[in-house]
Parts: sequence; structure tokens; C-alpha cells
Amino acid sequence: MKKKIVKRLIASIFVLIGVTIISFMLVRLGGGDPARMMAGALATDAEVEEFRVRMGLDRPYIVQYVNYLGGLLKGDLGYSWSFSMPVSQLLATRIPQTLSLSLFGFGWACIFSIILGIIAGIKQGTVVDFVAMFFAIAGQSMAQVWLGFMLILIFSVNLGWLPSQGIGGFSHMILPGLCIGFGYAAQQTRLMRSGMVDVLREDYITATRARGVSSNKTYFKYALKNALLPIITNIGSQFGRIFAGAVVVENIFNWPGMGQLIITAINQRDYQLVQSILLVSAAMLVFCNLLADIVYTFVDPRISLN
Amino acid sequence: MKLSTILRRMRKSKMFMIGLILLVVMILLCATAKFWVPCDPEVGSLLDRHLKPDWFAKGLDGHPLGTDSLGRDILSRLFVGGWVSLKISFVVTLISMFLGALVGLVCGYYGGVVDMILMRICDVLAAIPQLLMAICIVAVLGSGMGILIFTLTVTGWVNTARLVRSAVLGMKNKEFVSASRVLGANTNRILWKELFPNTITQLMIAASGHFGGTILVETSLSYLGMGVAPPTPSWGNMISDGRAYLSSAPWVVIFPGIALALTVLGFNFLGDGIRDVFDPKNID
Amino acid sequence: MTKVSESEREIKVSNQTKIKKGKAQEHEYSLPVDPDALLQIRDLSVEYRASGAVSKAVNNLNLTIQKGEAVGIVGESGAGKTTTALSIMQLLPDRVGKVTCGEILFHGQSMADKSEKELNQIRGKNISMVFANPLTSLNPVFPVGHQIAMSLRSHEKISQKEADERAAALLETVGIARYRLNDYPHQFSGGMRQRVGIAAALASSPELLIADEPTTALDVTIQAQILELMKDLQTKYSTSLIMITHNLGIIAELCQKVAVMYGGEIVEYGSVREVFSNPKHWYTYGLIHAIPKLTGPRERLESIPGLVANAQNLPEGCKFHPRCSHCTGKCKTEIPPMRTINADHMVRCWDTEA
Repeated sequence: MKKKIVKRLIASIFVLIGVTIISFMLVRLGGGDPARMMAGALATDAEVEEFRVRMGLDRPYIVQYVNYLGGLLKGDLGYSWSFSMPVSQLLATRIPQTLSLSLFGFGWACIFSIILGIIAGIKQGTVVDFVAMFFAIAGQSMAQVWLGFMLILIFSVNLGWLPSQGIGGFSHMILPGLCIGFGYAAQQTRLMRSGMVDVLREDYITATRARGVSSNKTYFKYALKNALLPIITNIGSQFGRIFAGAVVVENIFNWPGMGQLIITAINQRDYQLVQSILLVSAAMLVFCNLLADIVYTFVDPRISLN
Repeated sequence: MKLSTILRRMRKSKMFMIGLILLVVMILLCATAKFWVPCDPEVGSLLDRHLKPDWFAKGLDGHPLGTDSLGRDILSRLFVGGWVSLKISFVVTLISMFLGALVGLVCGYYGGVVDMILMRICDVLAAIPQLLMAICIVAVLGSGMGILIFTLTVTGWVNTARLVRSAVLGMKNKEFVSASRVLGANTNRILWKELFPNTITQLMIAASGHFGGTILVETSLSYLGMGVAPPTPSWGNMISDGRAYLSSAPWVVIFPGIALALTVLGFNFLGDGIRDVFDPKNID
Repeated sequence: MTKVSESEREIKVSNQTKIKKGKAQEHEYSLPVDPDALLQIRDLSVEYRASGAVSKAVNNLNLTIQKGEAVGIVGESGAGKTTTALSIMQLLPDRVGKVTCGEILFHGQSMADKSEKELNQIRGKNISMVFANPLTSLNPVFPVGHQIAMSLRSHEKISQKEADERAAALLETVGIARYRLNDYPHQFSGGMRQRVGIAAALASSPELLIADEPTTALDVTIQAQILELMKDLQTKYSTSLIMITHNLGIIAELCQKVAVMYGGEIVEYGSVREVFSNPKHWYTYGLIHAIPKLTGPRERLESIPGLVANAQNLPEGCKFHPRCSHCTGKCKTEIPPMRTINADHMVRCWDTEA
């Protein structure tokens, strides 16, 4: 099994290399003169040329790319000219913000959806099930951006309970956290519920009851373990997306994270910053999927043992 | 399945009917918007800015859903913009589905090096979150309807490709393909006549999901200023318009979101309904 | 089966007596309670209701099992055998299956009156069940040892070590090596999985074992092994057995009594010798003569014409009448009562000269 994991790891690295190629190309296609932009509007032509040579921007793309990759391996993500600091330093201040928001949003949504999904699955056909399904479908139909503003409207503007902008303590995290996790909560509720319903229909569950096991134990031990398996994979694939969805949420709530950063970076044509943000986001997505797959192989006995 | 059976099951499935009705109403209203909306969606009088919705009190003469910061009628913008969003999503979904299905079929059936290369490309594309990628592409290529459609297509076809590929792989090994081969059918025939029809149901369900998803991404892009450019309305840019005056004129933000939610809801119900209708395990 | 005089029986039984919803009407049972019986099913009727369609799976079933007795229930798919088994265990699917009439008495006490806790006590310990499909009746994410010990842990306070030890012993009893205790179901073949299922059912030495088609999914050689195993266990522990199958040979091997089911009813009942050598119901006759003979002159196989009765659309009168070559007018309109032929043989048929 270790072989499998190593194989996946290598595949993931190749994927990330592919990502660097795409982001490198994308950014270079932007037109405009990066040397001029970086040197500043007041620079003379001579200064721009000097800058170009110094930054290695006159070399062929391939060379630039190889240098870039080389730098990556050393942990050098480049220099953000619009913020006047190394990218890695800049990201180091911003990533934690996005990460904390994502983790919070993800955390509540995950737990909430699992619990709701289990209950809805057990009590299939009842009011609880109906409400859960309504939440699941409606939640996936709402635009995140609209939800954000509705939350602000209700809780900030009308009720005045919670702040809507910026950072500063837990209360500031509540609305954006709710917004960022909502769609995921809806999606996973549905998945958990249908997983539970499917498992409860299986013969082995009837067989479990036939051996005198109480219904609670049957549901929460013997059925649940089976129903949670696809959830593990889902967690892996959804967390990466939440991290990425931060772009919109951070914009609405003025949250100083990576999402806000990339918008600024794009507007400023700050290439190295954009490249790095894309890479970090992709890395997060790939990493989460990989982690979920590894956990899954440990948990599902049909896979770990060949 | 016979057409009569399909129609009967469609009528019986509540999900399908609700989705269908929602969508038909929404699409009709939006498609015909040009003809019945009372005001010009792109021009407004500053004298009329931020009028509260009068809820059809004056019929279509007034502003049933209010006006925005430039005095433009929300109702008009809502449905004209809706049509813009719907058109974009429709084209994107069509192309994505086609492209994805093609790639998936080829990969699944031929396997080998072709499969490996295409799947690696898919993996790389899928690793970059759709919205981020779209933002970057738009930033690079500029805005404009064509670019928007291109962007949304390029970032969205991977899922379909994977879906079709796994469906083909699953079916390739099933007995009826071997049976067909034994009868002497050549490869292309197997591909088109037998594998494809079986994947159609899954594609339809995926398409309705894709449609809904694309509208949502387009909304986010338009909100960020990277989608449909003003003054052309789109549900996304209507929301960003209304942002600054959220507390004083909330209706500018509220209505586009509701229209959006109803549309996506319609697609979700439709997708579920299709699943119900075509599921061979549902005996009636 | 209780010895009740024919006349008494004919007075008590008319057509189906239905319990009307909402009205606390006393149901007139067709047979009295047998105080010695281990299990007694009285006038049981079960329906399945799903998306508007009602399926009458069991119709007015009467069956009594004595201690140490092995009874076979034979019938085609859809005859209501599994439903009967699940009803005994009170494990009909929640919203879908409903007992509409009758009662099930275990040691004289009605199962329906028991609380969830009491039922859990009985299940696995007093009554246990072996399920038909070994590929789906074991939980894929728990080791087999754990599943075998499930009933032990539910009924006794034992340590993990002791549970493992007893499960290992049970594995050996069914012919599987001890060291496989912590393996998972997918690591076993179908036959071995079925044996695990049997071990799990026998773990707490039940008084009554219900075996639902325990060998149907297995090939013939494995079938033989399993049957030997069950015979062994029967003699060793004198467990009562309800053997559900559509294979007459198995019943002949294992059981003393046999009940033939069709359309949710028992149409013939008696000792295996009596019923198989001298079938009185045309369905039983058809079943027996559908088995190809290995010796004697080659004859054309007799098959029973028509299709199995559809529980959603049962015929009026005798449920077998559309397929019976000896059907009369009376058969089409009136449900025949159970008629005693002799001490070991009863049949539900209007034809008295069969």
C-alpha cells in the first residue's frame, strides 16, 4: 500500500508542475510590459531596460520558467512589486487569514451537515427529512455572493448583532464563516442523507438487528461507518473549493486574506504574486484530495488489504 | 424506454414537474423580456434613483421592483439580465458537455497513451479552482462575451470528461459489448450505437447541474467585475451595483439573488427529476 | 400441528376475517393457542405498501413449531416466505411493511406486544436468522469475528477477549480456521461467508433458528457441506429449525414437517414423508413432478403453467386457481379452508379426490 501512496504523491507533484506551467503561461500572455510595470511609471526607458536585464525578463520564456521552478524548490516564490515585498512573506501574512476563515466555515458546515444528514436518513420521510432536503437543495441553489449580502442585511444592518467588515475577534468571523460554508453544508447534507438511506436498506443492517443489537447502536456504529466512507472523499474535494471560494467572500466582508490579494494582484498585473496564489490554491486542493484518499485507504478495509 | 413511458413518468415525478415549470416560466419571462419590460434596462433617470418597489401597484407603469442607484428599473434589468446569464450558461453548458463527452469517450474507449495524457491535463485543470482560473483568464484576455464563454467552458469541461470516461470504462467490460463484438460490429459502431445511449441519462443529469453551476460562477465573475460588463445587466453585476447602498436600498441586491436561486433551483429539481424518470429501478 | 377436529375447524374458518382499522374488533382466530408450542403464528397477514401499491405478501398464515422440530417452508420466489421470517423477528421494513392481521406467539407471548428492549433480548438469543444472500448479509467494514460475537455482546456482559475466544470457537464449528477471526467479509468466498452467517446466528445457542434460503447462492458441493453442518448442529443442540427454501431435496434431508406456501398462504402441510409421497394440493404435485428424475424411463418434465401469483394482484378464491388444471367454479370464488386428511397431513383445496 505504501507504493500506492508514493505513486499518488508523485502524480500530485506532476500535477502541480503542470499548474505552474499553466499559471506561468497565463500570466505571460497578459500583454503589457512587465519590466515597465515593475520599474514604475516614472522610470526612464534606460532604467526600464536595466530593470529588465536585472530581473532576467529578457531571457527566453523557457529559461525564465526553469529559473522560476528552481526558485520554487528553494522556497522563493518571487517578488511582489505592488506590495514591495517577497511573495512568500506577503502570503505568510495572508494565508492564515484565509485558512482560519476556511477552517471555521468548513468545520461548522461539516459537522452540521453530517448530523443533519444522519438524522434525515434515519427518519426518512418525516418532517425532519423534508426540512433537511429543502435546506440541501435550496442551499446549493443560492449564490454565495447573494447569501453574503443577505446575511449582512439581516444580522448586521437590521439586527445589528454582528459586524460585517474586516477582522477583529470571533464575532467578525461568524458571518463570513457562515457564508463560506453554506453551500458545502447543503451539498454534504444531501450526500450524508442518501448515504445513510442506502446503507439502512442493506441486508447486513437487518442482519445486525436480527442479532439483537439495539437500533441506536445499529445506526450509529454499524450503519454510520459505512455511510461515512464517501463523506471522507467528499471532504477532501470540497475543502479545496472552499479555500478557493474565499475570493468572493473575502471581497464581500472585507476579509484580508488571499482572495482579496489575488484581485489586487490581477488588477496591478503583479505576475509573480498571481502565479504564486494560483499555485498555493492548487496545492491546497491537491493536498486535501490526497489526504482524503490516504485516510480513506486506511479506513475502508476492502481497500487497504489487497 | 418508450416515449409514452417516459412522458408518463415525467408527469408522475413531482421533482421533474416543479423543475420544469420553474424553468419554463423563468426562461419564457427572460427570453421575451425585450418585448414586455416597461423600461430600458441600461438607461435610467437620476431623478428616479432608489425608488422603493411599488409591487405592481401601478401595474407595469411604475417600478414594481424599484430602481437602482442610476434610476434604472430593476424589473426590466432583472429579466433582460436574466436572459443574458441564461444565454451564456446555455452556450457554455452545450460546448462543455460536448467537449467533455468527446474527451471522455475517447479516453475511456481507446485507453493507453491518449487516455493518460488527456487525463493528466484534466487533473491539472481540475487542480486550479474554477473561479480563480476564470479570473486569471479574464484578466489576461480582457472582458467580453466571447471571452467569458470561452473562460467558463475551458474551466468547466473536466467533470463531464471524467464522468463519461468512467461510464465508458464501466460499460466497456460489460457483457453486452463483448456480445456485440462477437456479432462482428466494428469499433466505431460499438462506440456510437451502444455505449453512448447508455451514458445519455447521466449526461442529462450532469448537464442540468452544470447549467446551474455555470450561472453561479458567471454571477460571481460579474460581481467581481470580470464577467458581463455594465451597462448590460447580469444578475451578478446587479448585486455588485447594489452593494454600496445595501442598507438603504436592499431591493437592488435582493431580487437578482432570488431570481438566480429560483433558476438554479429549477435546474436542480430538473436534474433530480430526470434521475427519477430514467432510473430503471423505478418500476411504476 | 394441534389436533383439532375437522368440524370445529370448519366452523371457525370462513373467508378471511379482516381487522377493521380503528375499531377494536375481536378477531376470531381459526385455531386455538397451543400452550406447548415454541412458536405459533396465528392468522398472520402482512402487506407491503409502497408508492400507492399494496402487496399482500402473507395471507392468513397459520403455523406452529414445537420444540426441537424442523419445519421446512417451500415455495417459489414471491410466495411470502422471507416476509414470514422477517415478521417472526419483528423486522419488517419500517414504513413499508405492515402486519394487518393476526399474531405471532413465542412461548405463548405475543411478539407484537413486546417492547424494543424485550425484542432485542429475544433476537439473536432465543430466535435467530440466517439470511439468504451471503454477499450482502455481512457488514463489509467490520471483521467477521466481531460480527459473529455481535449477539454475544448484545446479550451478555463479556470482555473483548472472551468474545474473541468464543467467536473463534464458533468459526471452527462451521469449519473455518480460527486465525481468520479478524479478516473481513470480502476476504472470504460466498460459501465461507454463509458459514460465518450461520456461526453468527448460532452464537447464543438460539431455541429457534430461521434459515432463509441458506444455500441458494452457493454451488452444489458447498450446499452439501452446509447442510451437513446444519444437520450436525440440530442433533447437537436440538435447535428448532424453520428452513425456508425452494429446494425440496433440502427439506427432505433436514426436516420432519413441511409447509408449502403459495400466494402468501400455506396450501399444504404435514410430515415430509406424507406430503412428498402423497401430495394432495395440485401445486405441491406440480412442484414434485417438476423435478427431473435420474432413474427410470425418460419422461417429459411437467411444468406448472402460468406465472407465480402477483402479490399486488391476487386472484379471488383459491390463489392457485388460474394455474390449476382441476379448477372448478367454486375454486374461483371461495377460498378453501384447511382440511385435515390425517394426523400428519392437511391441505387447502376444494378437490377432495386428489
